[in-house]
Amino acid sequence: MSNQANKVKFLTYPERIRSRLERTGEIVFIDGQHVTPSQIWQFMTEEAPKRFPYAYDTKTYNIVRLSDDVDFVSGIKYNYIELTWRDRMLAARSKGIPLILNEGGGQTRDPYYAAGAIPLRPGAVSTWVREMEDGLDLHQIDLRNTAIMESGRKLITIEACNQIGAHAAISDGVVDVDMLAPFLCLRCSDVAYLVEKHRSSQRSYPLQLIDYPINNQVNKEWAVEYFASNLKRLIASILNITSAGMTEDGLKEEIKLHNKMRRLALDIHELWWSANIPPTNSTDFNNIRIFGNDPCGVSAISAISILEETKQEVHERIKNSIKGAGLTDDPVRLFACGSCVSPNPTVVDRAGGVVVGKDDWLSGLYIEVKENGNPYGNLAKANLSISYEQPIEVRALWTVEQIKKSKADGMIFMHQWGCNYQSAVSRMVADIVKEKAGIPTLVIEVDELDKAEALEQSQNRVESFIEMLR
Amino acid sequence: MIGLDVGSTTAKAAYPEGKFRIVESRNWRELTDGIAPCDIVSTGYFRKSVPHKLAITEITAAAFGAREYFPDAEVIVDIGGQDTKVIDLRNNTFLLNDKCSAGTGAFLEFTAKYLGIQVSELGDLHMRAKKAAQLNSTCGVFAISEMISRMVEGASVEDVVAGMHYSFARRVAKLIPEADRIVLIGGTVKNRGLTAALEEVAGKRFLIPPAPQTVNALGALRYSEERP
Repeated sequence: MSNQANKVKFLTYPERIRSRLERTGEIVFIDGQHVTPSQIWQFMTEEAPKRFPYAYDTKTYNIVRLSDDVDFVSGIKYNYIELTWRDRMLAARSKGIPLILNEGGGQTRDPYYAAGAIPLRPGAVSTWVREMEDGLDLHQIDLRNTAIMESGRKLITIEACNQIGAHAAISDGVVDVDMLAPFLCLRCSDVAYLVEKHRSSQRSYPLQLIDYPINNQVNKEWAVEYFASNLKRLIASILNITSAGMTEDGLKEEIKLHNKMRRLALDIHELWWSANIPPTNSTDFNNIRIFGNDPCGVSAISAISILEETKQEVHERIKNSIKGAGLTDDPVRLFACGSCVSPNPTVVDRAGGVVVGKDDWLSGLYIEVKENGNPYGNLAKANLSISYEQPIEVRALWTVEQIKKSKADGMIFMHQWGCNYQSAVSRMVADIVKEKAGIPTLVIEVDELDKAEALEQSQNRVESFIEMLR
Repeated sequence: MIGLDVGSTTAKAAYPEGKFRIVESRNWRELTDGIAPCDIVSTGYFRKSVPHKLAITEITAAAFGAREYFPDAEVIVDIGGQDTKVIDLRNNTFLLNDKCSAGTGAFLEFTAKYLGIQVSELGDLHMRAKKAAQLNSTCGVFAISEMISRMVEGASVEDVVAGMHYSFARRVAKLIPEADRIVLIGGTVKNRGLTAALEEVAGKRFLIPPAPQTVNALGALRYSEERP
């Protein structure tokens, strides 16, 4: 327990894990690339520690660190997918696969994959930027991200949230994409600033704004039709880049596969929540939640296999009463709310807590797109139904339901400085949760988005909250 | 076992025999001389950077420490060097002011340095003020610039110090919920000018323990005793 602040400890995968990993399936990406478990092992134990030492730095405040649950084999695959992000995007692009920036929430990824493209969240752009130079440590990564973010702020505004860093990376040519397609729903109030970044850029990208009818329009025929026409236009624009074709049956097939992915990830959540002992730590659980929404360039069929393996592994852990590594006995269960930023999972685990859910990603897993009939209309209706995009009271009541299902002891609503929408709604969501779920809540504004090291003061609040709940 | 509170300005230790010691943060080792890490419960912003058996946040430490003096405390206001924390013990909530030095001990130090006086003199100067100078309560940097303006206009150092305390008090009072039993802790509370301004702005009397600066160190010690 003595002071180790100046000594960096790096994560290593013990050899005993290797045979277990090698008994799992390979990963297939949408550009046709196959990676065997042996190649994953080689990358994660030999190549990646040299190229991305920051990810292996076990410092608690490291936001971009790998999960230290080395026995959770599925987790190694999620970590592999994360650390190979830039390599894979460059490879995909060289094969003519378009990369589409899809900011703003309110959407599933099926249409992009059906059209043969890879959707990139701003967070994925930041991951790409992190992986651009080999051998950087945690501090150097943090400096690099900050420098890019500042370039965006200088050109547009200091008032936008840190996502301007991802946009600066694109407009400055650090990262190359094929199209920008922000969804104009309320989740991200900075979209206007971020789009503006590209208007003043030296580089020109095709821009397609997807108009999302806001304020609970899901039961209005015009809204579904209008939104469906926006989605149709988005797909047509992607196909225009590739000069490829896509049939409605092809879109329906992709929807079926993505429905299955989302259902599997949700099954894992329900399994996890039912356990007396949390079977994974917060980092691995977050990764499952994100992957269920966004397969990160992995083919849908392969993504389903990974999620099936994960479900099996979680099931085995529950059966054998295995606790996620790094968790304390009987941890305080925290439900996280808000977009883009989350409590640092390692800080939560070390402080005696565990993150049992997060509203934005979790709401995506509940999306069930109808599989028969007009696929555009079905996608539109499903996307307009996302709980997270509903009027605040509806969103909060859905959150209450999830909090009860996940048996959370407390809720933290975290929002990034500059995010006007989430900061405005945070108090209302927290008050409704407090009243209806009967649990303590904490609202925190942070300045951590796209940073590699968490800030002491925000983490201090998270730790204090956990101590209070204990 | 000892309670060790290493904050942004000072380090405080509470020893089991009822003694306390305070040194500058950089000299914290003086407080743990001869004490094994397994006998230290740490708190404060540097709680994880010092040897410890257990590290708890200042918010938990404050709750345990304040109850030693005022068992029926409802709210604790901890004015520290780096931030101000308001802890509502009735419903397990807290608020922190840390985005600006206005409303923190650092602001007082900055002011004292600018005026060429010791922080310990601020309270007496406040008491000698004839009319508190008007200063904003939203930004520490602007407040310093306004102090200069007020002095150029002829305000005395005493009036500027009092104005600065009222500015500080307005900032902190906004965070304090309605309650009857409010405890003030933290080194800044030794400044009687500041506490007088805070009581006037908030319109209520506060409970102040005899050694407000060491409450968190004591809380860390008590925590270790209650939850070994």
